[in-house]
Amino acid sequence: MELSLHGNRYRWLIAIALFLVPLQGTLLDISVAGQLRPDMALVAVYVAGFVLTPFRATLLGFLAGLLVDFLSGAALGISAFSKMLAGMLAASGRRILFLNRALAHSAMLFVLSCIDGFVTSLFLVYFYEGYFFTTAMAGMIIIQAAYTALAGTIIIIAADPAIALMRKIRGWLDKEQTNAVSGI
Amino acid sequence: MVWVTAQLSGTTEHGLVRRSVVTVVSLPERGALALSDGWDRFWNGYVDLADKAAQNRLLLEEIRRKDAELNRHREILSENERLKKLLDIKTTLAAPPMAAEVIGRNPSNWFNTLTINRGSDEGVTRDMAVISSSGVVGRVVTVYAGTSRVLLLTDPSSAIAATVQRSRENCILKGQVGSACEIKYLSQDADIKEGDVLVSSGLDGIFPKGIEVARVTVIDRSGSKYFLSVKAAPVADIRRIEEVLLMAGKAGD
Repeated sequence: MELSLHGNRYRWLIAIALFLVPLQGTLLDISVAGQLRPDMALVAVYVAGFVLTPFRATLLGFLAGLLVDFLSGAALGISAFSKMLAGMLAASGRRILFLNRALAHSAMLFVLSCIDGFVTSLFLVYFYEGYFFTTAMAGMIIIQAAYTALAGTIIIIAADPAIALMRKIRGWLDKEQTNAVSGI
Repeated sequence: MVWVTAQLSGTTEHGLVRRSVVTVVSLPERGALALSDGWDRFWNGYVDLADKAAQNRLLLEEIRRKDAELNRHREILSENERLKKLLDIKTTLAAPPMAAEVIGRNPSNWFNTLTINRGSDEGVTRDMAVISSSGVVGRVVTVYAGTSRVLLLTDPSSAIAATVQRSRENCILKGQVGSACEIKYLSQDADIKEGDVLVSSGLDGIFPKGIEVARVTVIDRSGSKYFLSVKAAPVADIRRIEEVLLMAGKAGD
């Protein structure tokens, strides 16, 4: 399935995905397989990798991770570092891979989420008491990656028709307003 | 006159004639009656049906309204039951507890925490015990002005001093990645079996003694030489908690 890669749409996606991060723990508290949620911050960072330079995508990853750290109560920098790495890889990756297919988006999101999960787990095992490398942890990383890949791909696929519909509605509203002003 | 007199006196035999004529005439009469009845039924049925359809619509709307009302009442009843259970616990506890509502959960999958709607403005302090009508939920780890963060017992950073209710074996209940719990520091010869209930021992100075914490699910005696590997599940339904109680001060009897 071909997907378009135009700048403005992806800026909207970044904003929406970042907006969804604080909502993950409230309105979007949906989960599958043991309270796991898709990583919306990572989806935002991934999408940013298409429209921003590698430096800016890395910086956005850092900020998105910092937001997650603030909201989750973790030590500041754990998610910031892992998301920063994801942003850098996403921006670098698009120059290497010709990513205009849904399956490629899913695969890339899955890989980035696994890397993010692994880096985060390294920090947690080193700095926090009670975290150990176990099969349960590895399982959680894989399942979260799969869920993030699925959710992120659906959002990217749904973005194009949704934004087209919004533009249509906006065009219609503008036309109505013009008619009203001109007395038609 | 003679004919009439004869009929009235019953001396002439007109019964057969009469019967025959009446029988013959009654056939079309019956047919006409059947037609008339049929038409009446059809017409009344049609009008009745239209009327019934309108009534039906009104009744369906009424049913939908009543259903919605019933659902609201069920929700109120359910909340009432939960609050009554909390109140029961409240009255058996020595220290005056504080009720709070859960307003959010951790957006990250690596930490198991809740956000509640009470903060330092209402006297919440760090390390207050948080319990529900079913049992222990966790403890307060971060306090803000109007909200607080609760570390759930399933978080890997959580550790609760517990006792096996049946055998009074002391142990530590720790959270694990994946929202499960593990019992630590039980020796191989400890008296514990699957299904045993763990209650708070009060030795950690945070949770009052005797509150249900978890239930043993799996025991593995084949791992370490010295300690058992025991898994447990929290008794409180962490996924569906909506109201909690906060306890302050030292644990006591």
